[in-house]
Amino acid sequence: MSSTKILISSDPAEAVPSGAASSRKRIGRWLQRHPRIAFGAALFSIILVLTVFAPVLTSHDPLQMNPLNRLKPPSSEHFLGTDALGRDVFTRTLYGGRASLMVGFSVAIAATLVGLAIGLVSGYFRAVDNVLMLIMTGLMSIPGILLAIAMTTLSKASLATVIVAIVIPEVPRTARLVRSIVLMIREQPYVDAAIVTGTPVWRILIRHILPNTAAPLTVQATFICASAIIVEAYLSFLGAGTPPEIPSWGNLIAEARNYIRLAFWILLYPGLLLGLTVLSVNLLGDGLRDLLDPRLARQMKGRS
Amino acid sequence: MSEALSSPPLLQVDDLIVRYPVKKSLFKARQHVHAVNGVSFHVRRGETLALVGESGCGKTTVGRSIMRLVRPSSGSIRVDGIDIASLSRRELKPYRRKIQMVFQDPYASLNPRMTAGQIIGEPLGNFDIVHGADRENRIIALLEKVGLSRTHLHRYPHEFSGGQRQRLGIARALAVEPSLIVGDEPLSALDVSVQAQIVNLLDHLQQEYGLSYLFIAHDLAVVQQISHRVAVMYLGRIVEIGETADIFRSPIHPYTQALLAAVPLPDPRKRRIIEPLRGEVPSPIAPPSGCAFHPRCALAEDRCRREAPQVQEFRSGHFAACHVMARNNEYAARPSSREHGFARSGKIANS
Repeated sequence: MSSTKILISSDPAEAVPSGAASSRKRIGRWLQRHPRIAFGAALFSIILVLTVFAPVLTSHDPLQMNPLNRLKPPSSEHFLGTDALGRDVFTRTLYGGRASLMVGFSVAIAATLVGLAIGLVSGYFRAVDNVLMLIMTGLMSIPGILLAIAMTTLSKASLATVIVAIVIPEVPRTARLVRSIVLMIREQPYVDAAIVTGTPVWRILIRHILPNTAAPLTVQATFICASAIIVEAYLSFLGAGTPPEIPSWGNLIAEARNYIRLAFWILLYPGLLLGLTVLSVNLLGDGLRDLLDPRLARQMKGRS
Repeated sequence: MSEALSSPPLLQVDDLIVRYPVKKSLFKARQHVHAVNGVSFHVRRGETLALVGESGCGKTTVGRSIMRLVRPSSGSIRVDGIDIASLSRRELKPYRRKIQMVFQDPYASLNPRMTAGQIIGEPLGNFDIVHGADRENRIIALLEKVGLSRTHLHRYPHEFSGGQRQRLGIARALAVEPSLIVGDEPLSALDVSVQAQIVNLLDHLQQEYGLSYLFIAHDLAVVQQISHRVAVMYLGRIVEIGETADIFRSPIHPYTQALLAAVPLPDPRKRRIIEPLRGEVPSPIAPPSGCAFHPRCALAEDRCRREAPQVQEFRSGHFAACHVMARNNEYAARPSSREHGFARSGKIANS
């Protein structure tokens, strides 16, 4: 625990530039010591830039059909070829990343915030703990895919439905993580000291307990993000996810599946980008975990 | 002395009981740990009462109950005459200004993410004591009061030594200008030389502000030095209470005698007269019948196994709970007054 604190507190100091050249050198050295974070962050940045700047990077419309140019292999006009309806694969792959990353980020943020709120309340207030944890256990027992299929069947298929469907099974895990931290921290004498000096409960939660959850939650959020991207993809692949008119990696792969023998590139590139994205986020998360929370890292290693 | 007797004591604890349920089980009868099993004592203004005993005897739980970090199962804790044992969190807040606590572990009792200024400022903010620029001045004044300086204002706890951290903890307790400070072994985590400094600081603060201390400790050498009275606890009960000099010169209860005998003597030629304690502290889940100390007591007789001894006054202001010692003491042969350990000493001395 103490080593974590030292690391965290020394980080800002390392980032403070005394001169442009020396700070660049220092960041370089820091990244050398954390190759996983460096590689993950670099890869993820590239993918992020590609998808965010998709309209600049390609002149094609992702939905523009061209029946005359169906299933064309890569050419100078169509950098990665065209799909079964003559749409540009490069364009669609980049735009598809927007939907997938959108789902990944939204789910990570929503699940973290909701889980944080539930975990804080559950960990601090004994009276509601049992009820809340029972609900969480109940939620955990619902198979995620079934829930998503049910939700998209019952309501209109939209990106929001997909996000909610993925958030629900992720919340209990975050809530439990936060709760376990709260249970540990609330026994700390400095929390007793805060109670004794008349600190209101909300301030104890925010000032004394919440900061301890930041590091593990950051790590958890990266893993949720990676898993949400995958879940979105397979839900879309099964037709229970993102509506087919929105290009997402899952939808692209689902459509390309029928033409794999004729035109493998339609499937290859979205699949490749999906894999690389998840890889980069996981590498980033692994690196952050080792950096921010050595204790959690040991637990996780013991579990897997 | 007589002045102190006329006004009610600052803190009056009566028949305090704290039970914890031990693991809830569906098929077993619920068991309880009797951490504190009927403890009564009082602390006067400007007085230091030391609460001593082996670890696990419940002395820390007594301290935590007074701070209401633990909810007492029964009994009363009166502060200036008002019972706080069952007040709600909100009702309790005004009393937090009267009683404060200094913790055992100077490392864990300070939030590592807050600066010294923030730590001391928190109670000031909670009670809206000072605002704006005055607030910083007050914090600096508090720092200086405990022997730190304004240069420490923006430092984090890890930048302080153990002794400095404990000073910071004392400054935090002083911020709300309390009348009583409960010290839960505030010295035991410190080096001996630092202990002496903190003892001097506490002593100085007591003289300056007329503070009372409830000093929970197991180091008898320190206790002898700083406390006016001593209460000895064994397995959730007070077995002896009296003036420090009386307790150390002529302990009554066999347990107190054994505790004192266990203090290392600085003179190698002196020999121990009393045998040191044998055996372990019994389980507080199923405490021994009768006198809880009987399995380890050299003087134990039949009655001790059957019947729990009442606290009786042996000498003026010196109380203990022991059948055997009471029989040999004509002073204690008289039935004990309504409450043990307070308000009687003056009267009896006169009679």
